[in-house]
Amino acid sequence: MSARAEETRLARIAYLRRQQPRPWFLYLSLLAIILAGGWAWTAGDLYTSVLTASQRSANLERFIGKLTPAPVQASGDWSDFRPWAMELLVEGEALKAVGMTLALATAAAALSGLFALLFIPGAARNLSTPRPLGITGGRDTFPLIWDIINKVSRLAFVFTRSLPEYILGFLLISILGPDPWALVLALAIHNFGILGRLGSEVVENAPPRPARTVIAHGGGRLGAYLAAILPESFNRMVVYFFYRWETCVREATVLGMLGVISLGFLITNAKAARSFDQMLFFVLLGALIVLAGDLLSLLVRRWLRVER
Amino acid sequence: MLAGTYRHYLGSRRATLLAITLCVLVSFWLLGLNPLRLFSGNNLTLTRDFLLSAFQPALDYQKPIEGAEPFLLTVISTTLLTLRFALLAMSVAIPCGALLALLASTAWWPDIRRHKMLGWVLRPLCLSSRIIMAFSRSIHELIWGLLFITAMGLSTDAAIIAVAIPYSGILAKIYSEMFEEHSREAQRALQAIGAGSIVAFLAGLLPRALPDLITYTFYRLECAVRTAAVFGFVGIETIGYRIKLASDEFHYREIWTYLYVLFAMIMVIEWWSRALRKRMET
Amino acid sequence: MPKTSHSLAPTFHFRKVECRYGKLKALTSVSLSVERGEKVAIVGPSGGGKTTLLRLCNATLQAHSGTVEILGKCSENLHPRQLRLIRSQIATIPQDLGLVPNLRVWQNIVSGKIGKLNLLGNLRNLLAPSKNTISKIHSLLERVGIEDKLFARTAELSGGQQQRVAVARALFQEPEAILADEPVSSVDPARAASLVELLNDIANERGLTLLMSLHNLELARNHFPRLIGLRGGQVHLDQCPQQIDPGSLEALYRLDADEILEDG
Repeated sequence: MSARAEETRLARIAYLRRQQPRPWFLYLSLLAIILAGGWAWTAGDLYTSVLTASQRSANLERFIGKLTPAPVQASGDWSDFRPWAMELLVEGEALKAVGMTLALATAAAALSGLFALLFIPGAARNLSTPRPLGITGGRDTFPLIWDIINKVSRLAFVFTRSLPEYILGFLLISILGPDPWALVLALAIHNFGILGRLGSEVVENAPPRPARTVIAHGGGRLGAYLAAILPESFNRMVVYFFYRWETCVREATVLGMLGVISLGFLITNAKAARSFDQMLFFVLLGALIVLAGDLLSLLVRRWLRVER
Repeated sequence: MLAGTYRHYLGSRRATLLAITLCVLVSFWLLGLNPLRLFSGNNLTLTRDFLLSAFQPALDYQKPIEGAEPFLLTVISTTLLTLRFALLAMSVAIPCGALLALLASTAWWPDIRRHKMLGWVLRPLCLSSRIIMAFSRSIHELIWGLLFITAMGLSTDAAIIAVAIPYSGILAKIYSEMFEEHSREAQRALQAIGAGSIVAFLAGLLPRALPDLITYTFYRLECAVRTAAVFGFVGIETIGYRIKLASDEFHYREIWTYLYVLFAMIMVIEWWSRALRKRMET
Repeated sequence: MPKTSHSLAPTFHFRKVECRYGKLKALTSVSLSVERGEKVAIVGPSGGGKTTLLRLCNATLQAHSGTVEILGKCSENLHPRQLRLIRSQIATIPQDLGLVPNLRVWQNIVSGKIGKLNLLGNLRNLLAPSKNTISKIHSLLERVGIEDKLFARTAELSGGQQQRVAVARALFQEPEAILADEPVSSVDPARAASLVELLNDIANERGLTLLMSLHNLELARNHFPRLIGLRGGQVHLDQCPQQIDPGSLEALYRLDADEILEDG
């Protein structure tokens, strides 16, 4: 190849490169992330600890020393573990707390799902528009109404999603008192936002043809939602429901720390009584239910999905 | 992430709904949830007071405090501390999660039928990292925090690690699912022209999965901000700490200011994640 | 100039090859030879064994009995490294093209050399390619007619343009042979013909062996000097298109009674 031809080629490549828009936003984002990370690591401690290093190691030693179950520590025989554990489970109300934890998660997931279903048609961009699913909706006296409904329901989802369950639980207990309602509502409000967003995405991505058929035959938006979109995406919604139920179980274990019977309550009590052996037992029990919940949810989701 | 085909007709859709409804009713009964109780006593007045405060978030202390720094300055420093906590936890969790995800996924493995020896190394490695993954995320970050605090007292490192442990587990789980579920056509095409399995993974699968990985990581950052706020309840002076103080004094308007700040942080992260994704896909 | 030096070993040489998926026989007793520089179309009904044959040719599948020689080397029981060496000499254009949609066009093409370089060389090519590499890719894109897409995102390209990217990737690999599995099944007839022509011209220019499976019999007859018809895992015909009599073609595609029932 001649040098001349090569030169024109390079010039052409340089031209093509200039033509391509540069992804400035990606570059700036990368820079911002690096700077933010650097700032986070160099801006000092989050918490100035008052403990000295020796106090700390003494603490740790005491903690580890008290981790083995008390009767086992006394006798040195692990056969004493079983009666101790059974006593904690039955008389120490651990079993009841496990049941409560699961019940909290189930009730909350159901409530959030139910309310999300009510708001989803408003938040789905393909329904809450003057032209549902691309079919003209006729003359609208106030076409902006759809835009407003859409924005409001979306805002409701984002806002409720941004409130952490634990803080909601704390606030609701200060209003309602130590009532299981407070925790159920706390879980439900946060998950309402998440399920609502996921659900409206499902509705937006649902195959439009059955819904169009409903509208073409004289049905309205709600008719299309109830008769075509919901049955069509039933499985997907149930999959999301179980996915959130699984996280609800995880959160429910800690919400008890706020003072209503669930595993978290037992954990904080054991901590306050400095029975670290019991505390560890409850923590591991909690881990066990979370794993069991994960497994159950995984099995149901697998069963609902034919192929990945 | 959850795309794919679904069973069109559930063995019986009605049975599924019935089973769920039954479980829900049992739960309500177990918890003794009576809807009427929500409207009893002075619940309604308190709720109304609380909700009405939403329309007038505080811009100054509701009851002036002698010698304290201005309210809005406190809000800003609290916000920055919350953000910093979230960033610190995430910057530990992301590399750990990515490493665990690679160890737990088989997408980059060479053909272990041909490399028998490698199989003996990789399989136990994969299994053990899956166990670590499951265990670390099955204990809630607050409980990890509680354990660390009881063991050696609260400190910056303890708080960061307490959040980073379960977060690495969750990130690893989702990352490895994404590696397994993404379409493999490019990876296979590269292997057909002689690429080694690791190179084919890096050049064929990783770039494809990257937008999803980034979107999920941003969602996790959002969760980390919320978790950082909650860690105010164990003593780090993040948003949760301020909310607790304000709530002890029944200063609802101050609470709302902090709730709005949290909302704004989440909104910004979500907007950023969306904007990035849009530019990575088209 | 086409170089058809018969002194070299044939590109592909099959001797009594048998291949099964579980119990299902995909190929039975197939013997054939494809010389260097030859251009061959593989035709036949679906399930006839076309894809299996191609997968044997780039050694992504192993024969259960018989021998497959690729570029004079027996493909059986090779060390993975030798296997990859063979694959790196054969370009494969899969049906789904195997491009990464969210990478740039040049990045997809640069990965054609993926089997010939080590990890570091590949990373360098993908992240910071040399001027020469880019210039080479540009000239290849010029050859396939989409030089102005050099820096575009692959997902933005049309189906036909993406096929050309896949062709350019195959060329960047500098292979001895090109395998293409139904490369034109997803585009309209005019575009399909132009792509088949392009691949043929390129194979002529560079003296490459070209092996292409095709659904479209018309295309195969018009553009290829040799047709191999596979049916039920066996070579049903292996001739130049002029010699083929209509009866045997009809027999190649004839539906059996049970197949009709299955389809209905």
